[in-house]
Amino acid sequence: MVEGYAAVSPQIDATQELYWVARCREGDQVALSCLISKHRARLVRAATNLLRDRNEAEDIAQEAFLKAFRELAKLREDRAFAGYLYRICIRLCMDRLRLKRPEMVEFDPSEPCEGKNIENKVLIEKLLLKLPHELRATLVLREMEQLRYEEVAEVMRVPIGTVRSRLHTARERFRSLWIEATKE
Amino acid sequence: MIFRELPRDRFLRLVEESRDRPLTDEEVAFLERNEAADPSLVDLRSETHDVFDLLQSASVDVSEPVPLVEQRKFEDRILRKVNVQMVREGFQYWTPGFIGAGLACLILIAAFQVFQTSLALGQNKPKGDASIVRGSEKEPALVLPEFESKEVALRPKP
Repeated sequence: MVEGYAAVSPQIDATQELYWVARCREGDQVALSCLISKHRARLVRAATNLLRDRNEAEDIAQEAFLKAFRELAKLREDRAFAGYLYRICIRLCMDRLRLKRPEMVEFDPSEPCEGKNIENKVLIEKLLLKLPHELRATLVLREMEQLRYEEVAEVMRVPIGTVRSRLHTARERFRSLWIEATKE
Repeated sequence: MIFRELPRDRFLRLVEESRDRPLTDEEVAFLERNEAADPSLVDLRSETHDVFDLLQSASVDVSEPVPLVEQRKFEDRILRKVNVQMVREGFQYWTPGFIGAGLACLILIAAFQVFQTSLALGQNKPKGDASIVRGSEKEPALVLPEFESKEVALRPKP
């Protein structure tokens, strides 16, 4: 079903998405399914980067799809669907992060690691969890999701100046945490 | 009081910002000048880039294809919820509820009417007491306040 709609080029891809969104507005479930398979990976990746929990990320991605389909009537331009869906997902993650208590994570060097890369990844996970959720989200959206300042400001609903200062603080803290952890 | 950024702080801020935007010639010259003056800043610059390159590489990898079963499950869950949502938004889903609510309203109105009628019946009683006097030749009489306790015969005497 979904495989039949495989994209050939970005141009065709965009046209197809427009078609699917239009069909979705009429309640076509095949089109809905196509949109889910197209955007699932991106949403799950972004949510996992922010929440650091794959299962929770899958839940959030589902919630984002549901919300986007429910509020499809609010979307003025069909071609903006991808950004609209992504913004919903990030905002849901932010809400989830706000509800979460800050986690106290202790770095345990006795944990089994398969190599330097894995070790670094584990350490990064732990250090990110030590940052306050707003700083962590800003850092992840910029460094991992590669969003521009304006995009980060839009999804986090804060002015660009705030993004800039949060990013600077987040980088400072992350860098000092990293130095502290690697010196031990 | 004018806040003046320390050269090291400015150096670090510019190194970080170089990850987000191209630096101006003046900013690049500032970095180079400071690196020439203090060799430890060269290490600081490369260390900062290394840390954030590592952070970037720690992004979750979703390039590997998801098993079809997982994909299907994910889709099915969403589609099921969308269907429930669509059914709930439909008029037919709410019709029995509307009918029930309408009936409940009618019953309430009827009960209210009955209650009001019973109250009104009680209020229309004439003032005074009816009494029957036994003995002698007197007939039952109605005593009304308007007649100042004069007894009014209910039946004319034969």
